[in-house]
Amino acid sequence: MSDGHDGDRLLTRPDPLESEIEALRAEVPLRPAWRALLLREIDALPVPTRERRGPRLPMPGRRTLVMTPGLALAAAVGFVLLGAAAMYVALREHTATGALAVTADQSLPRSNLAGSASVDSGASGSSATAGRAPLVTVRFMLVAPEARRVALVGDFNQWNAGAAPMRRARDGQTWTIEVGLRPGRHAYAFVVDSDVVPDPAAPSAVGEDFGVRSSVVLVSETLR
Amino acid sequence: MTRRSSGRGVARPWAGTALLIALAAPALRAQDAHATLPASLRQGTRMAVMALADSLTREGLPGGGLYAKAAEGVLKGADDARVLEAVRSVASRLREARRALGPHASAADLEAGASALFAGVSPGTLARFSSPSRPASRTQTLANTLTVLADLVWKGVPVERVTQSIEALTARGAYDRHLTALRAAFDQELNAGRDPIASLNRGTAQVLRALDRPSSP
Repeated sequence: MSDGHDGDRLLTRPDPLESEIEALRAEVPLRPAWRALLLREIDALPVPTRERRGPRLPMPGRRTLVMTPGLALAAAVGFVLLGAAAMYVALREHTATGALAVTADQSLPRSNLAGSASVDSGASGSSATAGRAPLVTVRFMLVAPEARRVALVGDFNQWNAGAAPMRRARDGQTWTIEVGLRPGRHAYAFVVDSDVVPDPAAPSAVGEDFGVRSSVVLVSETLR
Repeated sequence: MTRRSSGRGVARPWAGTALLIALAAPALRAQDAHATLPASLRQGTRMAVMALADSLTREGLPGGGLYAKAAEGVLKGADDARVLEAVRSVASRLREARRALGPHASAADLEAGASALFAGVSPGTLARFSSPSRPASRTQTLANTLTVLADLVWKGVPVERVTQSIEALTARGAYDRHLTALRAAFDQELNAGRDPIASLNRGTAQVLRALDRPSSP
């Protein structure tokens, strides 16, 4: 046991223990019949396979999917790519910038609603789609202190009440949103909780309004 | 055996994710590029709106606006018959506005013209505002002028009175922003309880005073 080094000698087992170990290591005498029986039993056991590395996920049908670290990584990368693609498409066209703002902010004494649409004109933003006019950032604002939810609807989002939810400002009364609009004439309104209301500070979208008034914002690349 | 089947289990989610991305990206782009009609409209209504829009577009008119008009109707609770009636009315007025404003009118001009016609402005008055020889053509956009005109007429001011006010401001070199200020001043006066004509007179005087100030433009 000792290889002659003093340090190793300190770690060697005492002689009585060594002799016990040697005794235990000695082959157990077995009858040949018992040995043969034992070997047959061992042969009959299935060959052990490598243990799977993760919990099994129940899948429809007979197959089970094993959640390995590689699979988890693949799924994560996939979801990140999907999210990035969606964000890219959503943000790609919202790139206009402007220098000058015209504000039609009015407070109407008869109503607790006051609104405005501010156009950042002189747009220098690049148009993502060749041949189309660049987007101009327009900031919509509505004072609606008692509202729980406010959304902007208009011809630019197909009057979809879920497309442009407005955010309550820090004052707790004003709701705002900025959207990129193409130059032109746009009809719009606000959905305050479940009611469609016009912008009290904007001109009326005179025309077929189905009995509920809408408003108009004119978006121009240049300001006159 | 076990290893091979485990490998297939990893490859399939990759393929599924890639397929999902490939399908989702064009769909998202399409949402932006093409107007759609609300699913709640009946098939016959949808077909009629699409046919009208297509017809307008082929005539060089802003037919895409009909899709938005239909969607507006659905949001505001109109039934199919009312939606179709409104869409036909808009199409008809766009054609009338084209005849009055001429072939060079922009989509915004035509939409504002259609709105003015709805308010009660005659095609002859529209034509007066669209004349290329009109002095305001360099300082005012036709769409803005017609939008202000339609708004004020709709709120009860006679067409001739609004026209006079706009022409008075134009003679002093008014820009779009001055007409916008006129409309805002009118609204304030109206909300203060004045009648429409008095509101217009006071609003016009207010903007004229602003124009007379040396630093105004």
